[in-house]
Amino acid sequence: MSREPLLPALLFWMALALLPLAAPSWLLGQLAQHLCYGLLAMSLAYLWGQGGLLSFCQALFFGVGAYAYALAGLGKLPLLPTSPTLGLLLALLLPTVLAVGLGLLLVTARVPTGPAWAVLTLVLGVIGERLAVASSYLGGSNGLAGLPPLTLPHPHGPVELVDPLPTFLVLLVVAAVVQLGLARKIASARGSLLRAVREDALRAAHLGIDPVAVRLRAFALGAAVAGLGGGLFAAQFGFVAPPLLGLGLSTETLVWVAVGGRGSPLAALAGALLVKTVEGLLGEWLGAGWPLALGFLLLLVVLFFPQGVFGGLLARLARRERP
Amino acid sequence: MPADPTLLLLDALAQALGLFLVAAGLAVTFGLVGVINLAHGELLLVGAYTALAVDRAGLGYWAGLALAPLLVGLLGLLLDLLVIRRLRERPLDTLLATWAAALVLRQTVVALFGPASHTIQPPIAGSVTLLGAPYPVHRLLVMVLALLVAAFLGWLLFATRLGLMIRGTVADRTLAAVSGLAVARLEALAFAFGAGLAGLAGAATAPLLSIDPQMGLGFLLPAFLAVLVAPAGGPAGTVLGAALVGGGESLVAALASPVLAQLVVLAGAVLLLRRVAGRRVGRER
Amino acid sequence: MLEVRGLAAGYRPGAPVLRDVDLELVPGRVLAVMGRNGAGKSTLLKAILGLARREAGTIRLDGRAVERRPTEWLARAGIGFVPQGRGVFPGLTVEENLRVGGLGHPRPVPPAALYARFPILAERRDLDAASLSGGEQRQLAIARALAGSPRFLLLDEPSEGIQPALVDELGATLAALVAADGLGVLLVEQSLDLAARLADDCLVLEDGRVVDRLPGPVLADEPARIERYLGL
Repeated sequence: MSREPLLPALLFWMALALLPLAAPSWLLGQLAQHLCYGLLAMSLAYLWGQGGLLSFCQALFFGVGAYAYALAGLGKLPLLPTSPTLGLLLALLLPTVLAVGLGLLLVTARVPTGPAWAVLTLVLGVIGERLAVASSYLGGSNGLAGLPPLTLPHPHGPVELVDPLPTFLVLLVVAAVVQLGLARKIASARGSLLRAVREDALRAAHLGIDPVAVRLRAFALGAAVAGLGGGLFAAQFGFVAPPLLGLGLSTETLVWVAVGGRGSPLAALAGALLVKTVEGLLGEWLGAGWPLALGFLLLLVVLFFPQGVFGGLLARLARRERP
Repeated sequence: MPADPTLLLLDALAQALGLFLVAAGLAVTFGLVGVINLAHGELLLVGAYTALAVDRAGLGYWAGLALAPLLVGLLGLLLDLLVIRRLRERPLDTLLATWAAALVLRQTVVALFGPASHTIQPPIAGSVTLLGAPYPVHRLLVMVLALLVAAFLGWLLFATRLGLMIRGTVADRTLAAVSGLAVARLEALAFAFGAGLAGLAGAATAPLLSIDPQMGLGFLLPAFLAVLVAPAGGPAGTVLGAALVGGGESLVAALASPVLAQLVVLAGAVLLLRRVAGRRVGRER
Repeated sequence: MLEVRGLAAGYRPGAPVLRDVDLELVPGRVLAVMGRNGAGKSTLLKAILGLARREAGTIRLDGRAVERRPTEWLARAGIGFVPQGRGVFPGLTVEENLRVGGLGHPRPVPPAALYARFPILAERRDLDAASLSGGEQRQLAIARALAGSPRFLLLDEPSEGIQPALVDELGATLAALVAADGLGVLLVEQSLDLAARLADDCLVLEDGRVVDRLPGPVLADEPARIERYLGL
């Protein structure tokens, strides 16, 4: 989808902003974490829906962002101060750098996108998780705990982001800004370039567009957004471990985006919130059956709802707005 | 590090043949039918657990080895009819759907057998003295089975009518239809056959490993590598591919460490997929 | 008889390449379909065989409606097809190509009988089909289609890329087949030579529609009439 209707997005964020009036604290806290997953979902929707690059390891960037925050927050980075704020910055930066590096391997002209590319990301996901588990610096399979919360500047002195309400509001603002930013990017000229490359890279090249550069930018942007989500997640969770960058979480991300709709980051975010909320409600009851249910859900959605639950809806609204 | 280079080579050969057995099914479903089935590892898993269940039921190992390919073959047929066929024109969605199927299969196994790992005793326990060193009999069995499967595949594809029909369908699907071949049915059959091979491989290698529900991925990636490295399409090339990948991994593991070997194999996958990807995936249909 | 009425077909929904085409294939007669590039000739053949989307129209084989049947059913029911271009199975030997052509058909023609008609193929029987020359591949493609004992043969530009001497030979072989086996032939051609030699009737397509029907001899006797349709 090239031009997302603005109204549903605004309504969505306003509705969420009004939640604190009705919702209990614990729900806000949970939603704040879910919004981090929402950022991850949006990053995949952008990369896949707009760029046509199906990544099986998108959580890798989420996890790297989380670990970056952890390392900076615990002062484990040599020559750099112990600072959660630095951690958040690195959570944005490190995954982007990693994406550019990996991109030079993966996104070059010689690798066609499509199934082969997807399998490559699968392999990367496996490597990433194994490296994290094997690294004692990163805490091995136990990960790193005791991470400091984010601190925000305040006239009366820096405030730690610990309570659910302010955390939720901060996440809400961040997610909204990112979503609207992505929507603008999608509607922009650059967004059209990305879609052109997605549709027919060869033709785009003949028109003077460099598919590699375009895809690399998309890959990097996706990594940055995912990394931001990871950093913010670590700040709330207080703890990072290999599953945060593993295939399991990457697969969940695929489910969120497939269910929500890959055509629109907003739809994907809504998909993540929906699935995570349902998991919260049914998860305990289903127990080990939840991953099974997730698998079936993905299967059903791919077979019968390729546009996603919310994606289809938004597409219909978009068509109505344009006569 | 073992002192004897011939034992090293024997190990490499065993690994290569074992990998060929594991990859043979993929050579059929991917190399012939052209489907990237991310559930291949889980098909092997179901084969291994079938052997486990049959053994537990007191029917012995051989019954499990015989039942596994039939059961998993049926599973493969189901997968083709319900999922793969509908997504023929959508390769990315095929990846997603088979990945989802893998998840479903894996979790079903967890639901039925629990998350812990199990072991299954080989039917003929003990070792045989080869070149002055003890070598587990079951490993030799697996090697023999691999060779038998290779021979069978070659015979099936090149000496039978069915094999000719399948090769024709692979060479040019449209022309095959126009020549009166029931292409969809042949592809379903080939896919089911590939799945059955996976089931057989799973049951055959089960006594050599610790069986746990997460082992599917460990089968999938080396198998894909072997198929992709293969210089020629189809099962013949896979023997060579398996030799390169399996043998290579074994040698690195022996000379350095198993973990490093895995990482090398995976890194090799990345580099090789770069070079090979354009050739095989996204075939013209 | 193979009867086509009101056929509309294309490759994308709502964008028909072919509109409202009527034709009849009768055993023992050759119908040539001529027209410029992009007139829809290939689409016509593909639509009859189910290889292109049929948007409208009926196709009747011996009075039975078959437009919903899958390609392989039509092939087995006696409609043979020699596609444009290669038309052979690469990676399979010549002999295997001929065997595959007959498999699945009720009355396959054994390779030996086909070698009698196309002797050069006998000399190449164990070679990979892809290694044959253009002319040999074309003969193999036709032989493969004949292996299924078809009653109707659809050919898509068989003379394309073939030396004129070979085209003559091809024409003679096809004429003999029509006379001996009573084949009904639908010949799509851009070149006049083969069509003029074989056609009993001729259909002219332009922009997906039938714009003229001519008796076959016109192609040889009054080529100017057809040349203007071909843009020559």
